[in-house]
Amino acid sequence: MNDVERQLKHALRRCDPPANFANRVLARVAAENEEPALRPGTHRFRLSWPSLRWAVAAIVLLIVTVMGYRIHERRVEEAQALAAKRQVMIALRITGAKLRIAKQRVRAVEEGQEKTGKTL
Amino acid sequence: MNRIGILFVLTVTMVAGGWAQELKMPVDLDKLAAKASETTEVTLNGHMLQLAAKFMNDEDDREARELVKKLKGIYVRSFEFDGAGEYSEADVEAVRSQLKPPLWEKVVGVRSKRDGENAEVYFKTDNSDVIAGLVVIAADPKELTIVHIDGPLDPSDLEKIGGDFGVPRIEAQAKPKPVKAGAR
Repeated sequence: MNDVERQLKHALRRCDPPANFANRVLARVAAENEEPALRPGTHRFRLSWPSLRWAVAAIVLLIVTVMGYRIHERRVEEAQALAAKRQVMIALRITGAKLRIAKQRVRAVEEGQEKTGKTL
Repeated sequence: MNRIGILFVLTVTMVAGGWAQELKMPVDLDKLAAKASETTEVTLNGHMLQLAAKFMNDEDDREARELVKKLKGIYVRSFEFDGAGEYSEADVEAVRSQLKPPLWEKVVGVRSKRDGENAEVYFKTDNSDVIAGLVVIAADPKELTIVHIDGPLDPSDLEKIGGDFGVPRIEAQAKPKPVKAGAR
């Protein structure tokens, strides 16, 4: 065995790890896997399944409420419009009837005047 | 008076007006509803007319829709009474007194002393040839009807309404001179 071989054997000799080595390695790994710390004043929102369900439910409720209100509003507007339409028709019918009466009276007067003229 | 006070007075004035700006519904006329056996009251401003026009989609409504879209208001007060003398000449005069030249032109005025039936038609005139409004006052001993249509009307509109609106084409186009007559 020459000198080189002796040095190599010495360097590669079996030796036991220092005490608590395994625990320190595991602790180091755990520390590296930890998420970075938040800045002061900031909060992390963790979207867990229950909170996600509540959020979805709230959105659905909001959409249903808005749509319901729109439908109700539309129905009210339709009812108002139909009532207004009925009133328009009544008003135009009355106007037409009264104008016809006026026209008939004017004709009657004109006919009376014509007859008077012929008689004279 | 502060701003709120002025705004309040303006609002009350506008709301109390009831009719369109120029023609105000006399308060006494509305009191006639209590005496009347049958009352028809129509108050439609421009907004309501536009709303009504949106729902006039039937082919039968087409002509009425085209007319209504142009109008600013339709106001009708019609009272039927069981007996004569339930309304006074002052009630009618309160409306008639507002229909004065140059804004209003009386185109028909027929009065029958024999049966007490009166019919008056007024056109609102402006600088253009288009009629800017129409008022009809029809009165007999047991019935009083006042119609105010506010907005532009051309002679064809008058013909269209109700199939035959009632105002003869020639008379309407020519803006006829007032016809005043006594007993038939």
